[in-house]
Order: sequence, then structure tokens, then C-alpha cells
Amino acid sequence: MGMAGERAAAGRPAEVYFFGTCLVDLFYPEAGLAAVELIEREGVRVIYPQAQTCCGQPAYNSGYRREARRVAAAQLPHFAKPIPVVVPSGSCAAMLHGCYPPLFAEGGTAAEAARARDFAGRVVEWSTFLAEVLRVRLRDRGAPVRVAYHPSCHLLRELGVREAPLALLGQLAQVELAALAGAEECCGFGGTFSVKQADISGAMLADKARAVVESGATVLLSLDAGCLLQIGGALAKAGHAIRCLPLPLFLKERTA
Amino acid sequence: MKADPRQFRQDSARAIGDPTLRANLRHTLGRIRARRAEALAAIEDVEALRRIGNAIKQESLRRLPRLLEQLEANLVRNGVRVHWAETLAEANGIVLAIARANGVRLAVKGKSMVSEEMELNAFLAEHGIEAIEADLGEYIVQLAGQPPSHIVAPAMHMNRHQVAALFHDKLGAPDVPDIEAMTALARRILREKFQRAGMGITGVNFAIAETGTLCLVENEGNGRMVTTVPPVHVALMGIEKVIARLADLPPLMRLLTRSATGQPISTYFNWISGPRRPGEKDGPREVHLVILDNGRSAIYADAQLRETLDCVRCGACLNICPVFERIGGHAYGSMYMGPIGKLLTPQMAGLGQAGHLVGASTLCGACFEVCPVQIPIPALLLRLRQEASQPSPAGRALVRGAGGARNPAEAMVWKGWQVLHDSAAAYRVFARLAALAGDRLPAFGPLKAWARHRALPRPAPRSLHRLLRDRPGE
Amino acid sequence: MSDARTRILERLRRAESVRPYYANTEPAREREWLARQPALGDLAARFTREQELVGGRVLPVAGWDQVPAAVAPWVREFAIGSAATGAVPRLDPLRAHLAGALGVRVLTYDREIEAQRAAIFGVDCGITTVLGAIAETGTLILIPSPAEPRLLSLAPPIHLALLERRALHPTMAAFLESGAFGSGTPGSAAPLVTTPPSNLVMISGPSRTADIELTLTIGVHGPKSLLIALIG
Repeated sequence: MGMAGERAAAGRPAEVYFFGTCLVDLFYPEAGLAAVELIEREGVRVIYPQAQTCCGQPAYNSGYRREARRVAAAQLPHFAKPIPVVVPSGSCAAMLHGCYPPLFAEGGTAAEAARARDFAGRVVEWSTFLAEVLRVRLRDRGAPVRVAYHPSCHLLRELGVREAPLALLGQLAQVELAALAGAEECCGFGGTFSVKQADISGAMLADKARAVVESGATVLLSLDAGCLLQIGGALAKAGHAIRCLPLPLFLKERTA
Repeated sequence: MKADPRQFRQDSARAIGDPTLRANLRHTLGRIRARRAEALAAIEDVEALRRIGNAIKQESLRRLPRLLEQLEANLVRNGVRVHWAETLAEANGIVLAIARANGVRLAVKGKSMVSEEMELNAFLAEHGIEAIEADLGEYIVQLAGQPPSHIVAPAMHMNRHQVAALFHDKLGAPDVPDIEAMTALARRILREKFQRAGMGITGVNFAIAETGTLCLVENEGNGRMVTTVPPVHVALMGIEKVIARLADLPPLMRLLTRSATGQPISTYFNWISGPRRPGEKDGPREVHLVILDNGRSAIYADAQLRETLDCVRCGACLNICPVFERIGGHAYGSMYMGPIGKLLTPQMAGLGQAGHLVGASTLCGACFEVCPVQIPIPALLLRLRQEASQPSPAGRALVRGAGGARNPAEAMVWKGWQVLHDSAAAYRVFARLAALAGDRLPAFGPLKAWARHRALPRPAPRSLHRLLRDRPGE
Repeated sequence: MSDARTRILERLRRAESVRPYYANTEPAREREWLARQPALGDLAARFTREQELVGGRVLPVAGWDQVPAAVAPWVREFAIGSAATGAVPRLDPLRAHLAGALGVRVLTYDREIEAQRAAIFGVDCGITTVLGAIAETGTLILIPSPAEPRLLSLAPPIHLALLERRALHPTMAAFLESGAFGSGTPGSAAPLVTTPPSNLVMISGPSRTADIELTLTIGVHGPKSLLIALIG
């Protein structure tokens, strides 16, 4: 995707914004903190605007664009400096990068539209920022472990981020990546889809959870909190002890 | 089985609970995905080819009214009679009139999605004309009294044992699941029908404006039979099937068959430019083309949704779709199923009737990734979700039934969501309450649906906002 | 019906100027893309390989005069007891050999189908010449004519096609550029000056289906066997 390349070409910034996302804020705050600290460890200052809330995707994906636009508009003033906005979620990064410009083009003021375009252009997905902009070198300090990686749909297909997370994991000497059957197939989360079409979502989830169990991994990693809530929820309900973690938290734990 | 998109929730739940259906879908979709992938791996730079396919369709649509007129003029010059129908009823009426004028009692059909749209078989039967499907898959579902469950492989939901039981029941064949023997039986029965039929009916894959040529893609030879043996051939097409040039055909064919079945080309590729000419010994005496609108011109009027009309009906989006894999084609309650069906059905039937179909997607994007003409299906689904609940402001073309799927309770939920998220102060309170609730969240409403398949999520005691605010040195 | 026509076209014309939301600036041409594809190699070899992959049989034959002897083993292998051809003088030696030494009942499809339907549907093998072929996909191109009607290559369970090596085109695009379909220039603004043939069919292998369990089955409505003599 263009955003990775453009950022890489722009070189290493002195400071970045961090857009934590609402799911990370509420359900995986430790992973958000780990994501911030892994950036800071590379000598880059991280600004976390306390006034941020949510990218607006839940309403946007449900067709409620006016409400999504109001929430999106409330984010923009807090990310005004011309520095990258790092996002630890494929889905939210796709929303901020790909959907903000059309969202404000069709409904916002001209000033908002311009601001949204500028903002969208500065959005960088977290693993891409670490692997391709900061070019981090990770030293694995953990015990041998077998992990599976779930390449979430929006990260993979909207942002085109396939290599960066695997490149980061590949630096960990004691981590074995398990083959995951149907890895690139959706887990069935889909935001409100998971409750509006609970049966279909459950059928997709059952296959995904089975694949994770059959992979023999003891840890499942992903860059999308929604998928982790979904898959982790199924594994927990079935009594499996597989840990489902956001990738930043796992990397932080292994390299601390 | 009555097709009704409003029954989606019940029908999809039933499909999910049917282990035979699930096994059949897994088996056939696994095969067809592998074949497509293999066929595309054999050529270089598929992405550039998809862009060319998209460009051809865009350019054809850009010039649509002129191309339709050119097509008509050339077909008429070639001796084809051209009819126009705004509605399904008009299209059915045209076919019936042609049948009556020729004293037709029996018609044989090649695969045609437009004829499914028209429910032509039932209509003709009401008027004393028998229409028999000649494509093997269509023949099977017709015998079973079902609609097709897939736009390319109509009987994909059935396995050989189910087909054998059907042939035993309806045709008196031995109940033996021998695919070759069943195929041979269908061949024998249908050969006799081809020779007796007074009319052949087909769809159209591409119509070439510059020559006045109707192209038909098929593997079995039923398309050739239907357009050669009966004295009258009636072709049915939607307005979007016209392309400008012969030169547009090779790249589109390259994409179509590889995407549909994994073949470099179909066994038969028919180019029909007119009826039997003086001196020719066979071929129909009359060829008719029915050009159908049925809501397509309204889709055409919208700059974004117009892309729906790029579809070449390859079925690749159905085959890759994780939702389709779990529920099969019948649950959609429409002749267009899967991702492309979620776009076409609500736009044709109206969002009030079928608006919920646009919500039945995780927006995973696998369909867009395989679409040979790059229809941005997830983006168009999002647009239709918006139209379903918040119709576009004036100035944009109106989608049929816009606002018709608006649910006041849901609208209130999103308004409430907005209030909690568009101010930092309100969000802080909301996050604090969620943290306090912790694992004491009661399982009601959406959480109850969530809890059927998963443990309830548990908000962390301290949000990221607080962790970062409370860090030493902040 | 002209009312429907007028109304549809008027609606489309009103919307014609709408600018696409996702404008694609790619030139809608295949030529440059084709140039980036791997070379096809020897056309006859490619044609043969592709045709055999879909179940066709290809036999190289040095010249037309060799055809009668060359196809004799097929007559025995496929137990061809009867065959039909069109009224094509070039096939006379083959017809004579079939009817004579090989003992095949040979009939000519030279009357309208209404008078010959049972005979054409009842014969073992239809024999036709072909206009050309596409090497890339192993595809025969036939333009049925008054001399060689459509059903010859469709109704009998065996189709024997006689293809000249020099009529091989690399791709479908190359075939179109040869101008064999109509005499105008494909893609040019000028309309084709001649009426295109009433029927053209491209054939790649024997009739097939995969409609039950996606299991390939040969010989549904068209020929069960496709035999090709590649001449020259």
C-alpha cells in the first residue's frame, strides 16, 4: 500500500501521534501501552491526545454516516501537527486512511474535507511503522513458543499489509510460526455483523477456532482487537487455553 | 421452495444447521477455488488484466445508450429482431408473443440468469408452454422444483447421492450415484427435447455493438443445441451486456472463464450474428433479442453504484465468500446470490424488501480481491447500507426503496453511540462505567447474541487513556 | 415496444454524463498486456498440449493427401460405422477411402435440417474442415457455412476436425486482427462493411460438464470425442 512506502521514504520522524482505537482502549489497554513503548524505545516521542475516542467505523459500517462523521470530526483537531498518526489496528487504520476523505467529501465542510485528507495521508498502520519506517531490530528473550498469526481482513485486503507483521515475528528466534489453515479467511467478526447475523458469524468462527486449535499454537496473534475478541471468545467458551493477544503486547513481552 | 429475500435470517439459519448442505458446499467450493487459483497462476500480471477488464466495462457503460442503439442497428441489419422491455412482465409478454406466433408448445433453454429474473419457466407454464432447462445443473434443479443455488453451478448444493435419488424419483432411473450414467441419461432425454422443441431460449454473455453479435459461453453444448436445432431462438439480456468492439472480447473472456471455472476458455464459445441465411442448412429461422431494463437504468444513473453493472456473472465472488460457504445460494432468496447478489437484489427489489442483505457481510473484501472486473463490492455494500438507513441528500440518484430498511431503534442506538463518542468528556464517563462493569456485564440484547458462540468480552479495569495519563513523567 | 425502448434510452442518456465514482484511466487494451506474457513457443505444440489437456486428440498429418490413411486407425479405435461430411470437394478422397477400404457408411449433409435431422443425429461421426485455431487455448474456430452446416460438429458423438497448421493463430486477439470475422477492422470507428457470419463457434475439447459435485464428465450434449488432424 502507498501509505507504507510514502512513510518509509519520509524517513524516521522525531515524534508521532498514537491513535489507540476504542477497542484497544477498553479491552486491550496493555497492548496499546506496549505499542507506544515499542515506538518510544526507538527514540521516537509518542503523543497520545487524551481527547481521542473512536474512529467512527462502527457507525460508518452500519450506514450511519452522519453519526460517524460527527465522531470523526471530533478526532481531527487533536491530530493537527504534520506528523504521522500510528494506529495499532488494521481495521481502524483502514477507516482513518481510506474512508475519512470520502466521508468528509460527501458531508463535511471544505475545511473539514481538507483536514481529513491531510490526516488520512499521515495515517500509518503500527506494524508497518515498526518494520518499514523504524526498521526495528528485535531481540527475543522469551522461551520457545509456537504461535499462530491471524491476518485480519482489513489489514490484509484494505491496507495490503501482509509482510510487516510476519517480518516482526520472524525476528524472534524462539518463536515458531504455526501454519494456520484458511488463514486469510475472515473470522466472522465484522463488527455489528457478529450480533446481527450471529448464526453465520458463529459458523465462520467455529471453523476459524478449529483451525487455530489444530494449528497446535499456544498463542494466537493479530493486529485487530475485534478479531481477537471474536476468536478468543470462542476459544474461551470452549475451554481452550490458547492465549489471544494483540501483536504489540506479545512483541513487548518477548523483548522486554 | 419459494424465493424470498425477507426470509434470509430463517433460511440462513436452516442452511447452517444442515450438515449435508455444509459438506456439499465445502467440497465444491474447495474444488472451484483451487481451479480458479491455478488458472490465474498460469498467467502473468493478473492485476493489470483486471484493470483492463474494469476499463472495458467502464468504457462500455460510459457509452451505453449509444452502444445499445448501434447493437440494435447491426442486429437488425443481420436479420435479428430486437425487443425492449422495461419490466419483467413486459419481457415475459414478449417471449410469450413470439412463442404463440410460432405455435410453440415446448421450449428448450440454455442457462440464463435474466430468465431466472423473469421467472420465465413458471410464466410460460401458466400459458401452456413447457420450458425445459438443458444445462445439466439447471435441469437437475428444475426436476427438484428448486431455483438455482449458484449463478454458474446451479446444483452445487446437491451431491451425487441426492441427484441419484432425484433421478430415481422423477425419471425412474436406478438409484445409483454414478455421475457418468446420470449425465448420459440427461443427454438421452434432452436430445429428444432439442429436436421436438419449437423454440430455444438463452442468455447472452457479451453483445458486440460494432458487429451485432451475441456471444454465449458454455461447456456442455446445450447452448449450441438450443441456438441451432429449434426453428426460433430467443436471446435474453440485461442492458449492461453490450460492449463496443470485438477487440474487447479476448481480455474479458480471458478473465471470465478463468474466474468462473478455472478454464482458459470454455469448451464452446458461440458468436451468433443472425438467423439461418439463404443456402444454410441449419440454424434457427428466426432470432430474437429481448433487451431488459428491470431497474438497471436506475442503477446506471448513480455514479458509484453503476459499477454493479460491470458484473460478468462469473461467480468468483460467490465461490470465495465465507458467508456463501456457510449458507449456500438458496438462503439469499434471490436468483442473484452471494456478494454480487447483495448488491443486485436490493437495488432491483428495493431496499425495503431486501435491505437487510446488505448487512449480511463482514466486509472482509475477499470478493473484491477476486472480482475479474474489480467491482468494489464492500464499498458498494457500505453505500447501500447508508441508503438503507440514511438516504443520500437530494442531487444523488435515488436508490429504490431508500430509507426502507431504517430501524428506529437502531437509529437511536447510533445516535446514542455518537453522543458518547463525539465528546471527550462523555467518552471518559462511558469508558469509566465500562471498566467498572468489568465481567459483570449482563448478557442481554446484542450481548446475548454474542454470548451464544463466545465468552463475553471483559473491559479492562484501567483504559489506555488512564494508563498513559498515569504513567510516571506524564 | 418502441415506448419501452424510448424510455429506457432516455433514462440512460440522462445519466450518460455522470462521471464514474471510481474512474479507471487504464487503456482498455490487451495488446501491451499480451506482450508481457511468456512466449507461447511452437504454436502446433502449444495447440496440441492445450487440446489434449481438455480431452481432445491431435494427430499430425503431413498433407491433405495423407489424411485418409492417417485417420484410419481412429476409425477402428472409435468403431466409426457411419460418418457425415458437408458438400466439400476437398474431402472427396477421404470420403472415398472411408466408404471403400474402411467400410464406413458415408452421407452428405447437403439438404436442410428439416429433411435430414434423423440422419445427422444418428450418424457416428461428423467430419468438418475448420477456419483456424488458437494455439494458446487449444481452440478450434469454425464458421459453419452452406457447405458445412452447424450440426456436423455438434450432433454426432464424434467430431473429426481437419485443421491446417498454417491456420494456427497464437491468441484470440491475433485471430481477430487477421480480419477473418467480417472484413472491417476490429476496433476501428468505421462499421464493418460486410455482414458477419450468422454463426461462429470456438471449440476447445469435447462437450463437458462439472455440474454434479464439480466432477468433470465428458460428453453431455455435444460430441463425446473430438479428433483433430493437424495438417501440414
